[in-house]
Amino acid sequence: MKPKKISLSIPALLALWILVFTVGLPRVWAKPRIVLYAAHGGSDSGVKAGSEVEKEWNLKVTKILQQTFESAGFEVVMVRKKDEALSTETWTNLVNTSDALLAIVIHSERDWTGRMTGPLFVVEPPTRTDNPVNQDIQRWGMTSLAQYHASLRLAKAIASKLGVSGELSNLSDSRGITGEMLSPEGRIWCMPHQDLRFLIIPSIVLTPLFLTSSADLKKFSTNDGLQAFANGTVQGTMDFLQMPTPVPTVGR
Amino acid sequence: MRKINFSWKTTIVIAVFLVLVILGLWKRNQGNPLKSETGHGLSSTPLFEPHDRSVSILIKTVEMSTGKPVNVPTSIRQSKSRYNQMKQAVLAFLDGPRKGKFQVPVPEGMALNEFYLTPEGTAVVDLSMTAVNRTTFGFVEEALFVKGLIEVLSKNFFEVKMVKILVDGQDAPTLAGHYALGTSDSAASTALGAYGGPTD
Repeated sequence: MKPKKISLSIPALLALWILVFTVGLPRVWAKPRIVLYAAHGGSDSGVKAGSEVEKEWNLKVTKILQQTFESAGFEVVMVRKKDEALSTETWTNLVNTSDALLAIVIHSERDWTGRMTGPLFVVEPPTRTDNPVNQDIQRWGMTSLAQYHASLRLAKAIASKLGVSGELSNLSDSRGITGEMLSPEGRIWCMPHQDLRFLIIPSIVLTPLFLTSSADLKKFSTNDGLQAFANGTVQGTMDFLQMPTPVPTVGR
Repeated sequence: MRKINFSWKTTIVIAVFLVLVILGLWKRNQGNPLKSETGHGLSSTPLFEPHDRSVSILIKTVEMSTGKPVNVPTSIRQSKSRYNQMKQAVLAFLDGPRKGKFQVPVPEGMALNEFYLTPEGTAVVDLSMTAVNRTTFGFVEEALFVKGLIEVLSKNFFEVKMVKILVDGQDAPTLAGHYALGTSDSAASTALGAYGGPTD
């Protein structure tokens, strides 16, 4: 009987080999992949406030996010790892072909009143395809209703974990507000953003801090402040993806 | 064959004449660049007559103590044409207060190149961005400016169905790198009144 068992295991191993190398590992076994993009870079400094430069803050925050996401079991595609300028076409192609579940664009901000503080979220409104004057979707990009709703859920999940209002701001574009609560305090802005309009996966712009806010600068100048922001962002993302959410251990 | 001999005096006169002609041509080409755009839009006809009475409109400002957008009244003149009134409103917004409790979300250096109104009700605002410092004009301010401009036109003038923004005469993707222009339905839908400040 023994030789018969051996002869059965050989076809089983062969079938497994075929499965792995032709079909690929089932997605469920792979780490969830996300994209992080630190906006601006190189000759494009982004906004400035005194000695604070946006591109530097974006990269700093994104690197902490990368570490935290990776320690929580994610595979992270970093669009920019150093101080370099990338064309919109280059980086949007990278995101759209990454086979990632979602993208987070990090954009620090400034506000001339000095009153605004982070975090703030921007979600691209859905494109109205029924509008007869909207003939140039190919030129300006298109966001489907499903993609908009997924991006909005992602923003709400992260806002919840960062302890801020998950309502839409009353400044939002009317295309995205149907059925949504609007509030002057809402931290989610549904507005057309150049860094979102060409992306085809759920994606948000996340503003961690305002360079014009002394409170934000103080908070993000400490490792604890940075890590608390990163932990909240990762937990919110895991909620959005309906993953079990063990508390990230980085920095704790 | 007869040889023409110029005296030195004649030569100097001809040289001076040529220099004057060249200087004249150069001066004409270097003249006020706006002059060539006169027909394009910077109309010599005034936007209002001195005896036109003033009317109140609302322009969007930001309350500096809270950072929230607020409508404040300002005056333009009751012109004979609605086009002139609209152009006055756009100028009132661009040149609005930059000091005090309420300030307009308009960056220093931004100027109006031209304003049009199409028969379909699209207000086309051509803005000059060449003098604007991009490093002090982020997404939040860009968004507040665009929303404010759209409201100034759509809330004060029922004829305006859509607002289209051009940057230095071009159909640009953004005003200063962030807020996405060009999706024509964006302007249209925003003009329908999604933007509401605390005083609305």
